[in-house]
Amino acid sequence: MGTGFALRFLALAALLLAFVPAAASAASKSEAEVTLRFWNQLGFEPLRSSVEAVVGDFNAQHPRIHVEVLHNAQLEQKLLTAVAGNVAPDVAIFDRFRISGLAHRGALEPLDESAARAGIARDDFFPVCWDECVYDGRLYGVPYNTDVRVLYYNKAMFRQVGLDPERPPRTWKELREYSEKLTLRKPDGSLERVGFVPYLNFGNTWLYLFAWQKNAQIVSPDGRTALLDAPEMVEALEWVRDFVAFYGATDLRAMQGSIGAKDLDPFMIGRVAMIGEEVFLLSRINKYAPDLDFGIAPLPWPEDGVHATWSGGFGMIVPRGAKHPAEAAEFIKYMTSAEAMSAFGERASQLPANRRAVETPFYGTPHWQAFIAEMPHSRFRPAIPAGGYLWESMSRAWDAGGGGRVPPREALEAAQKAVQGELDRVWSETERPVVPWSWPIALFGGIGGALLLWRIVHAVRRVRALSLGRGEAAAGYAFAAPVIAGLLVFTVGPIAVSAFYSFCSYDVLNPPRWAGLYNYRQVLVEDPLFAKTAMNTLVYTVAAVPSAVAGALLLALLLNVQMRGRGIWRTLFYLPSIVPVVALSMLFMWLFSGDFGLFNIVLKSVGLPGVPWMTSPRVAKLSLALMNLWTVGGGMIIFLAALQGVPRHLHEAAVIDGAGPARRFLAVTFPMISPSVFFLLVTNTIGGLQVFTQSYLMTKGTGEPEDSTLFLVFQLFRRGFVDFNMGNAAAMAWVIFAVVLVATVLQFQLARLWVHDESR
Amino acid sequence: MKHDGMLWTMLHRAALVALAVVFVGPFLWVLMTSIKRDRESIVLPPRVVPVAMSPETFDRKAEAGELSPFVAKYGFPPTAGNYLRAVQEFPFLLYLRNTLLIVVLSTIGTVLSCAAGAYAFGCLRWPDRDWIFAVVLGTMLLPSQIVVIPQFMLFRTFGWIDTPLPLVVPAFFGVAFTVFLLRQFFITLPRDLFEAARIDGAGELRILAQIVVPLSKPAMLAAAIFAIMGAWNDFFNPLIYLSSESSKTLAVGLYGMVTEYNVEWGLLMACGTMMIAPVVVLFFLAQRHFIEGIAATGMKG
Repeated sequence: MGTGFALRFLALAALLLAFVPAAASAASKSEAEVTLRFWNQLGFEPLRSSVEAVVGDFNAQHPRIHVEVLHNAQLEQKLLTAVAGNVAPDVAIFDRFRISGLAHRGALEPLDESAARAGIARDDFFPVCWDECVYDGRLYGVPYNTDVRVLYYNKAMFRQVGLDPERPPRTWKELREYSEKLTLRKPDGSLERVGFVPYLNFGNTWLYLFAWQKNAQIVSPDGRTALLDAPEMVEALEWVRDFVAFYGATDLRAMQGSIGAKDLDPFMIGRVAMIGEEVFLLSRINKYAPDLDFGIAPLPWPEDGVHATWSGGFGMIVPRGAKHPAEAAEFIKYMTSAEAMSAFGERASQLPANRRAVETPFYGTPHWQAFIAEMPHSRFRPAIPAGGYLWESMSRAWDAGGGGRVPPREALEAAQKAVQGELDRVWSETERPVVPWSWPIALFGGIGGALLLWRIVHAVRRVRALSLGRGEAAAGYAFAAPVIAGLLVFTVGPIAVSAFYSFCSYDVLNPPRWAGLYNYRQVLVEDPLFAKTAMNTLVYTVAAVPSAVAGALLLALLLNVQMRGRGIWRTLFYLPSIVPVVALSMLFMWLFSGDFGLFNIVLKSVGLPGVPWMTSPRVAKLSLALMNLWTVGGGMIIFLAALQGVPRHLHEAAVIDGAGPARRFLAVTFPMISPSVFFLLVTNTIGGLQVFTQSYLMTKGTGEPEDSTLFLVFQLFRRGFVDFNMGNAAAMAWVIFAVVLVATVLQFQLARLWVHDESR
Repeated sequence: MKHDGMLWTMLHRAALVALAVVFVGPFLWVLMTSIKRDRESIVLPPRVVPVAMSPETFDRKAEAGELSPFVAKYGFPPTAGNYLRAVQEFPFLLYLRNTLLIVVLSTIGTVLSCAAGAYAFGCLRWPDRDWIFAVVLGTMLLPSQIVVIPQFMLFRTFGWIDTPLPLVVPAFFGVAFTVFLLRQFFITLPRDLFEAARIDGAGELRILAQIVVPLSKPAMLAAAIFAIMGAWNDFFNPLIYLSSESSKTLAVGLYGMVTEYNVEWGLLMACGTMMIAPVVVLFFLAQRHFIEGIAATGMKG
């Protein structure tokens, strides 16, 4: 074994490569003249197959055009990358809320002309859906499906507490009174059943909704001024805070934890008597709890407020530079027509955005009619270029203010400041000077060229002076040439460019503009999320690194004895370390899951309570550190090698001196292996400060719960490759580099105190 | 310590067994989930005893009450259904093909460029050698995030987005860690060998190919293994560069499955197992080289 093993592996892999059929390209290509690449963000069932069915119909009826569907749940992040890289699809179904942000960056084709030509008219759609696709007076999408929030209430529970099941609450005041009547507590004081909860994951309502019901605007109509600290906003959040205080935020969290996974809807299992939810809950109830006695009503609004609710959904877009705009318009026309929309909606139990499509008998039931009746009162989230910041800032205000940790006014004022700052930057962007590419290229090229010339002259002289073999020197340069070229092109050049970007405002699609120190100020001072992610990263590193090094050392010590089968034990302990981190994360999602995860099953079987591994903001980071302990095999092997190097005679001498095992370890073994301990501490710290993949995967890119698993590199990834705010991301990269550098230098300084150095 | 040696040995073995359970147990659990139907994964007490019968027979017997109480409570019929679904419903083979293409090419690139580089830095004398090598080593400390964004822009300029090229081409221009690893082995080779070969008229390329590489087989293997593992496991780069479904690698495809099928544990664990299996096989085939390679990274250099 061994000889040419890698070669054989590569040959085998190459062989496989030749024989494994390309699944996608094997799909039969029809005789169509035009193939439309269509990305569908509705990649989950039953929407996925419903979209596919409608596309199948289109293909059958349009021999000239062939539409190729690609389901892409991560479309949000992928679309800008694709547009930036000129590999965008021809048409896509995309989150309507994000359309204006993309339009602002110039990532979408305006559709006014092609829609008019194809006969796609605003009149056919719910206005709230259509208007969400309009940015700066131009149409950038055609609405596809929609949702609308309503109040679901449990009639049986209403009867039980003496409320009229045909008279749902109509005002905020009534909502609160009804809730107090419907709430039940267990003998130990914990919540058994709640009425309406405007907070946490009890339903799908949020600050937007309550603010609109107070007639707050959130952002001025021109999109330039945030109005987050307006009195109506503050009142809305205060109402939420008081409502939450009635139950107790801690009790609500405990109840949410006991309900567990989000796929068990608290309304369906009878833990919540009234809930603000979307359309999809209806189909879930029909499917999983057909006997539930419930009613649907408009969401109550305040006495001094307005009848308002909230719609979101998806729309069809054409990315910039798409090659077949006419065919794409034809496809959009078909997909959003009344017939195709009804076919899709009825199959997927979805509410179409086309209002002619809901005139079929399927939508004639009282429940569907209740949704449709709410559409004229529905609003959509303000579409502003600083959308990401708005969302993050409002979320923080919501968490802190609604839960009562911070007075609502203060929380909203902080949010206002953050959002307005970003809005000002975005709107003043056009005033900043564009930096022509020729500048940095000339600068770096000039310096690089001069250095190169100087080195060549220098090298020729040295070769002569030292009478080095001229052939050998030439060979040295030649053999190292790929590595040197790689160093220049993939590392040194990018470092210079990244330093340059960090002083620019740059979104990939438009030329960079000079922003001075703005990005650094944003990262270090103004973005409160940075402090949070930095703290998360620090906590994770402090929890994960020492425990991993200690764990590796423990395993190595256990194996550093003469016994049979040592190699087998070593293999067993090392095995988890070779598991790809993606697979590892997926495994641990399952192992960590609430009721049926292995860890909680084991804990409960010995009488201990289950742990909310990935659902509690306090525990989640530590869970990731625990998961890291599973992969200490590499460290163990390094320690084993180091332990083999401890000279026997030192141990024997210590035994003669009467030292016990503990003392021998401290006085002999540890100093001798301290360089390895140091090496692992340094490398693990560098790795720990850059933790990303596990939390990104296990939280599906969200950093939940409550941003507690949002780490520095995670946030950098979001800023850079989701928001495409490259300047901010580059500044963040330099800050991370500084943190890593300081940590490393500090460890090297401290090492003088404890690492044994034979040369001294 | 002689007199309590027996007790000590027993405690020691007990600790090892307990740790082995901790390290291997999750694998077995995952493997088991992958051959269960989902409804048997989300019940308590957990069903942990595979029963040799088809799911249909099992259900019929369970319905008729013909199963022993123990089997009815803890038994489950193993099924390959999840694996079949993974191969049929998802472009698993396509992902595999994309991944293998990247693995093969980037491994070849890494080994070639790093062997040449390590030979230059370790065995040849030339004026700028030492400081350039120091810079190469220094880049290992640099967080990759700093260069990620400009690299993205660079590959975009080349029109390489959504192709495997950004994941393959850089490998042909050296990997700092591998250059270092190989150089550490190459410098232990006696210089006389090269001198003798040179006197015999061999060029540097021949020396590298016919003397240095054959003598450094373990190091070359370790380098290849690290390259294979690195490309197979890489998540961040494919996530950034590959945007369309048809170009995804296993790692990114697996992530897509997690986001789309978040509660179908049987299916997800089957996919996970299929991603882990090749590296486990590789590990068992080349165990010694893995271990030697890793131990070598911890050496002082």
